[in-house]
Amino acid sequence: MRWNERMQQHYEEDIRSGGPTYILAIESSCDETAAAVIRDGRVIVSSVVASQMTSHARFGGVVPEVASRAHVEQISVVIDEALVKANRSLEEIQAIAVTSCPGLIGALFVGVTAAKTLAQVAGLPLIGVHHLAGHLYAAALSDGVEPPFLALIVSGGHTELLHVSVEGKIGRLGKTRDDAAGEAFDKIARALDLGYPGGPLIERLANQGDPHYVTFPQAKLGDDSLDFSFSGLKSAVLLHLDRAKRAEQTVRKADIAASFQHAVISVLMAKAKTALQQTGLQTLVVAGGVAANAALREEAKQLCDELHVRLAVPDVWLCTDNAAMIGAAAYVRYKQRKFADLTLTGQAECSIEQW
Amino acid sequence: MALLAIDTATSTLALAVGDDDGHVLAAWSSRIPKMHATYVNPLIDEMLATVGFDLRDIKGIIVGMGPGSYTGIRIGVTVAKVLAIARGIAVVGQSSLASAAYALRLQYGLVAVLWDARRHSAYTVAYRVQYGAFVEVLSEEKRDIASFMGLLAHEVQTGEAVYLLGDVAGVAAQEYASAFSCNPVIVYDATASVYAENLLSLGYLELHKKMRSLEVSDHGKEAHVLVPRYLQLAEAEARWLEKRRGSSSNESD
Ligand SMILES: [Zn+2]
Repeated sequence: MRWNERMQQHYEEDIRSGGPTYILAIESSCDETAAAVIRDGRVIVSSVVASQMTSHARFGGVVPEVASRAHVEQISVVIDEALVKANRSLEEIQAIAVTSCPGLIGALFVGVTAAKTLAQVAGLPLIGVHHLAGHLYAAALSDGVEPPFLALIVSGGHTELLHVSVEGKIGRLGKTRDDAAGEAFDKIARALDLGYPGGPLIERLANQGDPHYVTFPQAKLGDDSLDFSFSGLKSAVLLHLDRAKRAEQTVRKADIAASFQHAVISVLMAKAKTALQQTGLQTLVVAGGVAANAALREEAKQLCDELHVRLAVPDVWLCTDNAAMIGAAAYVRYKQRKFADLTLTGQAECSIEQW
Repeated sequence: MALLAIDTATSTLALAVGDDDGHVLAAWSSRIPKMHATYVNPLIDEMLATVGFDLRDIKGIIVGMGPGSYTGIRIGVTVAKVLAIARGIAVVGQSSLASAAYALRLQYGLVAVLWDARRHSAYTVAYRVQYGAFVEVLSEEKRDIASFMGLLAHEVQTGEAVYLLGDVAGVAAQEYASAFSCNPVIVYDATASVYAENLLSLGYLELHKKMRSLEVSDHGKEAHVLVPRYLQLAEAEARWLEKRRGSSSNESD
């Protein structure tokens, strides 16, 4: 029987039965190969992440071809493990979800092809998920938060302010015009000879430093803009390091790390505040890899207390890439019957608003 | 019950379905470069429906492991691995280069495959084919095109026919014609292509053996360790190793 007919039969059956919906989700957009089983978009039944971090550390960043090779080695292993840990067979799953964009194209192909094959063999609906939607629904897993809310996504690839409506429609209020915040962390970590990945290393060092040691400039993009820019800040830090080196002063790494981190968080909070005031939204979600940063979480809490707004952040382990968040985002689409067909493919870039 | 053969290592997306004796029921190939990720699953769906099957009927898989386009190879291998673990069925990896050469199994002479690997190099292999029997004379390797043609000229016997196939076969035949002045040189196929019916014939015996010998639960585990044959390191990896060795060799890409 054709996949399309089997898939529709399965969907009708699930809706009629009114039983719980189990989604098997896959994520392979960057350097983590991950699979998870999620119940009703809220409960993590199993979550498996095979990280390639150590493999890329020697290159000082993610190398696409190395990532793609690792994904193909790990993909069937993580899927198998996610099902075993969930104690469910593929016949006891209601839908297959996968990150289809944005990301490293060759890496995405591995996850998307795996997902299509699973959907095809089991006769299940297939859901393509925007990676950023995954990040913001990670908060739903930890906190049960429901739209509408304002989402601040901060990661190695993205810095965005998103408006998520009651129906789950996503509108973009602001984005970075150059580097992503996480990218700036990586670059400054490299300049300070801290290693890779930069985020946790800067955070650890910043804990021992003075955030007011240097006042680094924050980009002015016009009063109304909710966009971000971190390249000026990055240059200012590099310039400072260069000057210190030439003057043969000892570089106060901890103080510089603290001042840099402070500058990044200040900008993020200022824009989030403006966006909350402009939209009147009552909930702020902070998500993405950089949302694991304790100082950012603390500042966000203070901001929300000040504005009497609810804050929802994912548990720290759900901030970095994982498949559980993809399953959570997919559930919304499952209920809306928004399925992909077998021509679903990976795309390096795609708009969150069109998703 | 049916068997599935897939190759995505070249710009040809090649699919075949066979019965349990390995006889071809359908064989499809489409030259749609860089679109394998989009079309491999829908085309499998379509092909199987044509012969009255779906993926649940597949009891064994033969997959082309490359060498070839990095991104391309991974698509077919991913389909094979995931299908194998999902259904607990046997999978056999076959060389894509060998499968390409297999198209000339009824010829008599030297059969050499050259697929572009950029920077004057190619993924190469050579066989002596006689009465349907293949004897490997130059093993599968990424080689400089010039040195491969030199090795081939050394192997060829007087008057023996030389069949070249691959996307750089035409150029190589012209450029090194003088080395083969006493031999008929035939450019059999000037594309890098694999046809899945050949993959099916070539891999059938091994698959059949495996299907009979392994416990069902072992099949999935076997699939986990399936890795494409890239025949070379990722460029960044090669550079990193080189730096560590401090050597001046510039073998990369
Ligand atoms: Zn991410």
